[in-house]
Amino acid sequence: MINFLVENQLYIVLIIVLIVWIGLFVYLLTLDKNLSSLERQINTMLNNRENKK
Amino acid sequence: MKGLIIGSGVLLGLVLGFFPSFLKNKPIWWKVLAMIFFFITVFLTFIPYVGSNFATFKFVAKNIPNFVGPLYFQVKEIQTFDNSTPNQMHIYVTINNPHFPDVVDSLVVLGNSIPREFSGNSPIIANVSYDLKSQKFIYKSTVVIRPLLVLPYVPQLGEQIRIMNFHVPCAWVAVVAYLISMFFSIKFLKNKKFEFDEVASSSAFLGTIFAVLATVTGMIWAKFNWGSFWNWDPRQTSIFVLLLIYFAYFVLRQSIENFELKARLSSVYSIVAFITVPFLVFIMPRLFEGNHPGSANSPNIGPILSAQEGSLNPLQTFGFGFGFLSLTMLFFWLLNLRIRYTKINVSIKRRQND
Repeated sequence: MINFLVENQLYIVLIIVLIVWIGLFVYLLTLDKNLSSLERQINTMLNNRENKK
Repeated sequence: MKGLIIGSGVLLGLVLGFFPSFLKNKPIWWKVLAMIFFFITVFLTFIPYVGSNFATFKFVAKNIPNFVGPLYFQVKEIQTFDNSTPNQMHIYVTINNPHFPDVVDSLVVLGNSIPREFSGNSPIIANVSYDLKSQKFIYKSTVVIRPLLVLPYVPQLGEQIRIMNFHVPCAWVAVVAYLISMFFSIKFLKNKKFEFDEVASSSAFLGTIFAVLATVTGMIWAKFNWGSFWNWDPRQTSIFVLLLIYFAYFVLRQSIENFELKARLSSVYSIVAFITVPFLVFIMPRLFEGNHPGSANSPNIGPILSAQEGSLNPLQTFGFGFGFLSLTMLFFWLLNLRIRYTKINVSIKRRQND
């Protein structure tokens, strides 16, 4: 595996670029998840307020 | 010229980050532009071929015995010499490099016939070795004729030069993020508006993500260039210390319940922490001997800052500038999302506490 990568250095570049992509997209996904949980919280809060009225 | 292209990429990224809106939603054309720049960077990172010029080739060949590598040249004039040894006709070819038209050198072709591609007067990348005794380039085989795009051959890096388009901007974006964090911490301490503290903490968080990305990409690069993932190079040590400092920032934030106390203490900590950033990123690694380009014992100050002609060719410079531009824009986009998220999160928590 390592010998293959040493001979074909372009794949090292590929791995590195993929790591940057994966890092940024994992962050985007967690942000997405957090935002949807916030939306759910806001919705429950609004529902509670309506119920109180 | 090189500094102008890279500098304009950096500046344009920063200007587009704050304009037309920093805290509010970015307009749609801005997001499309950021995506286009990112794809241009990826494209410029993966284009073929890598070929060296004469100066770098001689430099490498003097250091590595029996070195065979790619050389980028154009055949100008062919002269044949009748040689006394059988089966070895020496053909001298006057060659020059399309990027550097002034440099003219000669190439020795061993064998009975001239390669067909030499007659076309078109640029060629060929595998060549350098004979130290006679100081002549010796032709081995042709790699490609008329290459569309050519990347520079940097000694000891080869194809890995392409990683630079992502690795260096990641580290730069981390510095920008920490700077923004410090700026808004000062603003918070002046005005006591919680909005600014939210910007500061979001920026520090994203800066840490980019610093980790720079470290991980650098580790993989080090595995194939230096031999091991982690070898306590000054650059690695300093980024490790920097990460520890900013991990402490988040530990501090998590440990305090009171909103005002949390904001005030973490703002002061962020200002103090940023003082170390220029030293740990720009100064400390240049003072000590190490493997990373720009260390005290490296022959020049790295391919980016070096004034040596041809250390980066125009295309690589463009890719590098676009790397700075696109990753800075991506950072500001993520920062915008993060700030909006933190704002809603904090307001909900406050309401629940009330």
